[in-house]
Amino acid sequence: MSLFSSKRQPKISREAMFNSKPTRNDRLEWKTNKDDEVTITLKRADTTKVKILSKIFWVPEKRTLVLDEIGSQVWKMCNGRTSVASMIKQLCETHKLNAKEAEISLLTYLRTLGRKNLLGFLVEKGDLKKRKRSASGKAWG
Amino acid sequence: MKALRYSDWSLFGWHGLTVEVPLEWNPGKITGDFKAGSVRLDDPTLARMEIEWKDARGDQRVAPIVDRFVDGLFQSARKEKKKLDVERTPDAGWLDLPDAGTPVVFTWQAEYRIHALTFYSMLSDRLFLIKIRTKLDEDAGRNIRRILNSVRDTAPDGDRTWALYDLVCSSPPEFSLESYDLKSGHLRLCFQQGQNILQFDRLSLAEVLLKKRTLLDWYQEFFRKNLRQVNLDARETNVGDHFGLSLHGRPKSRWRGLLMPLPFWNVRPRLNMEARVWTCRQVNKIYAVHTYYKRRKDVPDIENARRAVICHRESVPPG
Repeated sequence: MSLFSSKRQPKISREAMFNSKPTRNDRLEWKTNKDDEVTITLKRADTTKVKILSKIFWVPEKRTLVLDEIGSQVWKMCNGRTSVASMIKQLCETHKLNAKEAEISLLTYLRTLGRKNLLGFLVEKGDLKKRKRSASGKAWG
Repeated sequence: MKALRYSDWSLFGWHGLTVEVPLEWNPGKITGDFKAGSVRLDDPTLARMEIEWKDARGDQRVAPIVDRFVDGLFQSARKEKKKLDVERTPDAGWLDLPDAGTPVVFTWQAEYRIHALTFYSMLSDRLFLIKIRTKLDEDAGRNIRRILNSVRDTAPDGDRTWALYDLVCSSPPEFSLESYDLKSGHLRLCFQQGQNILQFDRLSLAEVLLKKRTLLDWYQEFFRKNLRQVNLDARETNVGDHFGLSLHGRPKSRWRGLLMPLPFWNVRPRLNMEARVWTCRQVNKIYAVHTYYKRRKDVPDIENARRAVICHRESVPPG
């Protein structure tokens, strides 16, 4: 057991990841600015621990996060109804991206937003099962 | 059984081997060099194809490799207590590979059905093993034939075609692949012969990159590291059918180099630079071809190198 044990994230298959539907954190305030870019306001947590820490270190009450053009497009698609697969398809069509290229960029971006608790993923219960391996061999030693 | 259909196909080329694959199959893993290596192509759900190659050193026998491979499969299936059906040398009269010696086609079936082709290439003296994976309920017969019949190899003294992620280019035989960078959004293939360099770059999202600046401004910002050593002469011009830049760089004087901070640290050779950069609106991408050289005759002509790049589909020669 590690010293700083963290909550284990369930591992899902690649297919389940594509079927999952990213959804924005409801507690966040966000709006679009005149350049059609999404601005997210992150408020300081209102807990005792944070209050004490903010007396010692300066922690701003609010921070704003401005997403770029494509980031904003992805953020708007995170409505809990659009699956990751259809997000990839949409990005490919809009920006003429190669599917793999869109997939890698999008998954990295979604992971980053997920780690910051800005969004979560809705996954079908049946998709949370073990992955299988296929038989394989070696051609040359 | 559902028929597996693909409407769009593209060329994949790496270290002299080219093969036609569905557009949605893209490299997931690349290892090795011309003598030995492997490539895996994935579609959105599955690792679809694996290509392995190895220097044959004149040994054209393919059967022992297949024997060893099949033994390995049975061993692995026994360990995992799984059923395995291997069909060796099924009727492969449809196979038409002009430069392949003793090709062997075999299939096996466990959780997936794998179609494999092993052959010796008389052109490059290499052994190839190509595996294509399909789901048990998929009928991919026509696709398998199309893919395996499109496999072509290149002789060591021929120009090599490199094709992946919408970038198709070619390199002269004397230039070897020195480094590659396959980032999402930016691909770079860099070939080298001695001090001479031939470099291809492909960047996605051209519209976004050029939204608030010109192509030249973007170029100078993006390639600023390479431009530190040269005096740049740039002019806007048509590159093929596209708007682009023609660039020439002469190395800065030695005296100026000495004035730079830490002039004796990481000393770079003083090289001339020639480049063509263009935006292809059809595919929303920026392409750049660079050559760095001491003497112009040591590198391929920049116009020829640029012409070998196929940026959008209309440029693909018929047939």
